[in-house]
Amino acid sequence: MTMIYKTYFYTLFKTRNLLVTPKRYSALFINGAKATENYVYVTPYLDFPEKFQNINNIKDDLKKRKYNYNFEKLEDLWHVYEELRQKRNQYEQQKDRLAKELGKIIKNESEKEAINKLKLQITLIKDDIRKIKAPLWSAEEAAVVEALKLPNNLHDKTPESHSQIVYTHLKPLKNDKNHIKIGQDLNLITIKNNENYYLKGDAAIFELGAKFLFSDILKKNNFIQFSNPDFVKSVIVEGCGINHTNPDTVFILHHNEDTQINSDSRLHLTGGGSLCSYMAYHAKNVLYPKVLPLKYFNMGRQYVPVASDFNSLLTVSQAAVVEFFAVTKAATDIDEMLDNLIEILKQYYSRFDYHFRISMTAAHQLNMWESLRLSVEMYSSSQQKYATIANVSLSGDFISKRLMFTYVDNKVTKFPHILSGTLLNVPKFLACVLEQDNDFCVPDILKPENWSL
Amino acid sequence: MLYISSLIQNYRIVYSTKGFKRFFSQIYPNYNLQYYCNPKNHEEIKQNIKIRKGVGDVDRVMQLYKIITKTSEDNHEYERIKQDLYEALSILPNKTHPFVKGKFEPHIAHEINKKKDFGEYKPFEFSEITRLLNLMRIEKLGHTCGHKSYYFFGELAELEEALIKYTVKKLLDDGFQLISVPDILASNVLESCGMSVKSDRTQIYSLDPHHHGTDLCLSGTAEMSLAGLLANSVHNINDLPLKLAAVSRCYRAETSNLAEERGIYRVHQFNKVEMFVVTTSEQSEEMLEVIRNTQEQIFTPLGISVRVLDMPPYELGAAAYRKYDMEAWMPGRQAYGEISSCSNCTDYQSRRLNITYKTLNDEYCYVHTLNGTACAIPRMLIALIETHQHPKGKIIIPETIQKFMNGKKFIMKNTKVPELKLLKIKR
Repeated sequence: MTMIYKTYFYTLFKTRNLLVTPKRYSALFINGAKATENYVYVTPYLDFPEKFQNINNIKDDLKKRKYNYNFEKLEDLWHVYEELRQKRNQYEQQKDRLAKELGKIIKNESEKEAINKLKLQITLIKDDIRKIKAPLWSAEEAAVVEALKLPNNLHDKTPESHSQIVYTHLKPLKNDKNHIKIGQDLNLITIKNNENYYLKGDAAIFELGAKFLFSDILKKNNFIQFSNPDFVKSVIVEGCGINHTNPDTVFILHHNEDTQINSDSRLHLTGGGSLCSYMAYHAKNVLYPKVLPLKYFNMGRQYVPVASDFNSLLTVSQAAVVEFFAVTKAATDIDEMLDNLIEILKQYYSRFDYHFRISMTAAHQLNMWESLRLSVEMYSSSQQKYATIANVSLSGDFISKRLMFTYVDNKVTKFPHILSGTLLNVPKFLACVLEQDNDFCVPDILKPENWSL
Repeated sequence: MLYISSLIQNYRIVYSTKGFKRFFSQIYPNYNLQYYCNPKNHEEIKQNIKIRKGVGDVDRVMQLYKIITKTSEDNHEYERIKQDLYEALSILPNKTHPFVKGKFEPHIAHEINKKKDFGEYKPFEFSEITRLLNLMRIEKLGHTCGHKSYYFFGELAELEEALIKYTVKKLLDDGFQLISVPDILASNVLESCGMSVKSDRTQIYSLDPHHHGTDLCLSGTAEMSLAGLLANSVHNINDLPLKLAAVSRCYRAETSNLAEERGIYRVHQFNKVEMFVVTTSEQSEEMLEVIRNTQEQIFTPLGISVRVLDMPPYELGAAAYRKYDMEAWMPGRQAYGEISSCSNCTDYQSRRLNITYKTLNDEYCYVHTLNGTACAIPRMLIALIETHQHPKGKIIIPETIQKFMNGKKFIMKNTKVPELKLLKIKR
């Protein structure tokens, strides 16, 4: 007994030490006492024990990503959590064993002394279980929340140091145009700041036309059209690998209600044209395997806060976009889907006489949830560099596991693989189009007379 | 069009009589003081407030005006009194069109298309149809994207796109200039349009003030964004009327537990095509009829039954001088529902936003602004789908829309988007 208490206090002490960190925020993982205070909509599937078997891979990926992550800290936290959990399990087993013994003799009057002893032991062990609860919860939260910050595995094709160009259409232009100046001269753009801009006349027609053309191409490629809401809850944002408490990465809406503000249960403005919006639809839902693969798209808004001192269509926080979301059963089906999307991107962007290229993004430029990203880039003369106007991101089952998006195959719960991205970002596309050598006019295929049959 | 956004322009108009003395003091809108502060108009204004929503206190306005005219500008109380006066002025409603002044009930001005006869068949409601045909999800979304969220998919989402194409094309043909607008706006723009941001917290979404600055709201309608674009602008009389149109997201925080507003009838977010017109003071009355006509021309080919109502004073928002509402018959609900409206706001918004035009005599006058809904998606879909439902379990697409939907004639049951099953969490 003394031995048990010794380890218990040692672990408790260690836990406390490790737990002396600022208040932890997670909308995704809520346990213990917090779980009774807050409604827990979804509990992520934790694959860390499996993942930790390949520690070298994790460390290698972190290095390639140049990701600032203290893996030793996670190992420590996980160790403490495991120890406490084992301890709790031991107590539970002990309690069960004692209860069984007690059950055997409880009706036997002559064993009164033994019965009382067992009862006392059970009371003590129950007390131990009760006492270990809080530190266990605390250790679990510390370990899991830290583990949830661990990035996705890198895909084999993701280049290590430099982006890799996989396709080029036409040759780059040489001029020193600036889309803001052209836009103002032609009365096409009024930009007050990155949160507040207007596209006028032909620029607004360009916006709609560009979306409608893409919508048409996607429908012809058997994508199903969606129309999505713009708000998501914190749990979805964190589930998609974005820090929901950071106003530089996601817009947080004002808390309108009289209830107390809980930073893990806010509404966020991401726009319907976002992965978050599709995950809000799919989180905690089960599919039948026969419906896979799925290919969805929508035309919507995308809102991303921008911290930039200079105002341009390349840095605005609101964009009209065409967003897609595709789901396959397994990682092996993803390649075909990826090829399909590259073809669609080529199909769309080569309809115009503009130079563009498709490249595979380097590991250190990926978001933590991405394992591979393809970017469509156009050259911006004003920036003297390529700007990304579209992307296709592979996240595999990383987000499915976090948000319990599942399918059941032969009575086994599995996690589908996700490919998603912004196929068209209108303000960025328009910025590059305005900086082309030729003077701006709405391309014929985008004109209103071609919006219908 | 000439955009002048500098403060100097603002001051030239607002403070032409006061000189540069208060250059650093607060900017006040140029309310029509000659009218609102003239005791001769006291009764008329009081009566106008009474027949409208009863908001505003003209006695207080007159009283404050009396005090301020007797207070020296050097008096330390002057600025405070002025602020009070302008606050009292800001909530006074616009004048009311003489034709509707004595009215208490909406007057049916026009009716378009007869109600469809379904015979023995009892038409379904929108939400039942979309459930049966698997075209929309509205259930169990509160925990992931908030109360009253909805997703359209398959041919319903295609129909939304088709309606936007159809409406925008019509407006472009009618000489409207298309504008793509921001959805995040400064609160003063909303206030200038007649929304009270402080007292209408329940109607307006805003960004978290601690994280994103104190002043950013989500646009409730493109009318606000377009008004914001035109703020502090001077127009050449020859450029008027200026007809603008926008396709935008609209955000409304208002909630409703009314049974008749179930489903997507009243939602927090939706797409809308909006018209916004700037005219001279002489043109606005006629322009309201032009806008109404445009709306009727949009709705008629869609085959929905619509009645146009000339709204009585108590139904007018603070900004409106006259307003038409368009109500469509929704056969599934067996009720009329408002799908559109148009208002003449005369100089109510332009005085607050400082939008002027230069007359031929080189005088500056406040423009008149008008706005109208060309197509608000959710209710338009309710009216369309309920009207064109076919007993055999499909929806007939109006002919005029078919060419915007790749020639499709019907909306059938969607089998491509799987129905979802919520996972049960084991604890």
